[in-house]
Amino acid sequence: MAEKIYQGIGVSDGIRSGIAFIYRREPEPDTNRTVSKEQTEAEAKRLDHAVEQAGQEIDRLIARASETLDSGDAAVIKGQKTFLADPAYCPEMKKLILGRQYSAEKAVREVTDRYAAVFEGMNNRYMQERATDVRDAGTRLLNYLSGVQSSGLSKIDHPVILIADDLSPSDTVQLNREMILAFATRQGGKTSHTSVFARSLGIPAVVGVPEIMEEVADGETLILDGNRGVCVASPEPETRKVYLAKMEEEHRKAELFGRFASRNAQTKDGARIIAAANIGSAADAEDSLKKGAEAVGLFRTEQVYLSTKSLPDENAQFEVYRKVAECFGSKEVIVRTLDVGGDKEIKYLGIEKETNPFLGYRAIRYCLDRKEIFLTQLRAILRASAFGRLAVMFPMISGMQELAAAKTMVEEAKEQLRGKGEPFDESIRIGMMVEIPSAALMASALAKEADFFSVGTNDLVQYTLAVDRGNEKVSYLYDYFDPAVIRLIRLTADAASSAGIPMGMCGAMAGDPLAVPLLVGLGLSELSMAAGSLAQTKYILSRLDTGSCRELAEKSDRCRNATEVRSLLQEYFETEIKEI
Amino acid sequence: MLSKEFTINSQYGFHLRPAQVMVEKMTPFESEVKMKKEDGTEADAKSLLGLMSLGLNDGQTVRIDINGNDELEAMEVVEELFRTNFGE
Repeated sequence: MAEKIYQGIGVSDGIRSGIAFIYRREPEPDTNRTVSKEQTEAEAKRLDHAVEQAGQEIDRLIARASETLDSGDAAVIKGQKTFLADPAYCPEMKKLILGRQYSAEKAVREVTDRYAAVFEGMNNRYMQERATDVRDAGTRLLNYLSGVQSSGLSKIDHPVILIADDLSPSDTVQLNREMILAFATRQGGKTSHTSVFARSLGIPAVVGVPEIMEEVADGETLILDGNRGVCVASPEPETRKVYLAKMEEEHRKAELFGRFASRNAQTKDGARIIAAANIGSAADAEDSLKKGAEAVGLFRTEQVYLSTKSLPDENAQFEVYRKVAECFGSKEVIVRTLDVGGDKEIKYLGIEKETNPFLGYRAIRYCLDRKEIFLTQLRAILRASAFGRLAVMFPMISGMQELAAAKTMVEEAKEQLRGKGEPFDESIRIGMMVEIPSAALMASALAKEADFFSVGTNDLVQYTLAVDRGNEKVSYLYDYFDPAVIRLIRLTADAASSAGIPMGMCGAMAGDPLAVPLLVGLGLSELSMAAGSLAQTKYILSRLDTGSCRELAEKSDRCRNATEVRSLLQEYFETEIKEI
Repeated sequence: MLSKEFTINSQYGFHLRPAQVMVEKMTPFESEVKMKKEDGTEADAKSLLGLMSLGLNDGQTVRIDINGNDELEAMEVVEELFRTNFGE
């Protein structure tokens, strides 16, 4: 057979090679039958019986799902149970049976189709995908009516790449997960059940591949690349070789890093460095914990504002912050106050277009001007601090005045809460981002007023080098390995250490393997990054000796440009860390 | 009969979970509870399918009509649900 390549949407990372298992649903029963007047009572009873059995089956599935899956999946199946008990669902069917002499099957089909069509017609992808849940409830009833109950999915007893039209919760719950190498489905999007399910189990998946059901045969060899959303059927030996090498590389790294994910980050000589995650929501918080986050070094609160059409009130914000605080328990979560403006636009805040937005009315400048908005957020964060270990971090502090003004606002928010008898963490730590060169230069003064520093490299680089990285004509100048940037980081780190306050980093640089030894050498105590980089960073840290990192940092101080820094770090990496 | 207007505040609209919460909380009440959209279409607030068929999006306004012996208590629960954004 000739090689066939299919492009879909990669929704869960990883590459797998295996045998295709095509899952087709049972042929549909006759759903066009009517019955005689005398039979309607019996037909209604037949439906009642199927509803009862289907309900019991769902209960069993829920019990099973809550053991093995997270609560989200169990909730989807519960949704089906609610459909079965819905006053607009089965009672509607009975009306059709008794009133219009429909067979039970015809009634199920008609009512199910009616509601599924309503959902499919909605202009909201989430709701469109709920049509699957209704159809699934309908299919389950039809199965019980016709006596067909098992779908063949539970019989999979050897490792396969499962190909289906779409998979519903009741399909996936039947699967023996050990036997599923990957999924490919004809339908679905990033938020469809198959996608969420695959990601939660770490099984590679590609969805939205239109031809796959018709063209791929049962038992055909298949390579599935969830990173790029590609499926290759009957791959040529050349293709196979390429993917095999990729898989081996992936496997080796996963093995290597995986062992470090759940450990505390620590250097070879026993220095503790906190490997923290950057998050934007409560869902990110859960995910980052699974991936080994020891803290949150940056909780971007902009998403809380972006997800609403008007200003979120104190309670709405509090709920989000509380969820994250509870999720991390005794581990610290650094909440950055609203960092709006620049390239981050929130329409309802009404920030006018400026000719130079990055140097304009943004972040802490906006918040210190719009005191009510700032106080609302601070109160929400403070209230949430009673449920975990939160810290407050101000963005874009350019000097002492702004830090003092922002701290005064925190005091004011605390006073308001005390007045209302609302509990909060009285000793909550208040820190600041160092992302403006003036703040780095004044770090020794600022360090006496802040409880911690966190370097935001993205802005620090652009302000230090005067480079807009979105501008392709100059973006080649944007480099956090520029010695000027590193000197500012050093200045900040030295100030933090003399003042005895911790210093972290939450920009892109913190997750760069090449940068890790340098940052350790400069004396940073927390690295905050995208959750996906945590295991790798922990691994790198475990191979480092702080003394040798310090020497490396000294050496970097003599570099004259970014290229020299980069090659110094590259060389260090190759000799000290070797395998990666 | 009691009647009150509320605004949907959820980025996915009034989706499966808030609707589930609504049905769960309303079912124990004896009163008839209706959710009405601005265009006049309405649904039984004890029916998940009915509620979801309304296809309510973020920011839309709905009217809740409650009629029955325990309408006061039921409205209190509805207010609480909207105030806490259905536990989102």
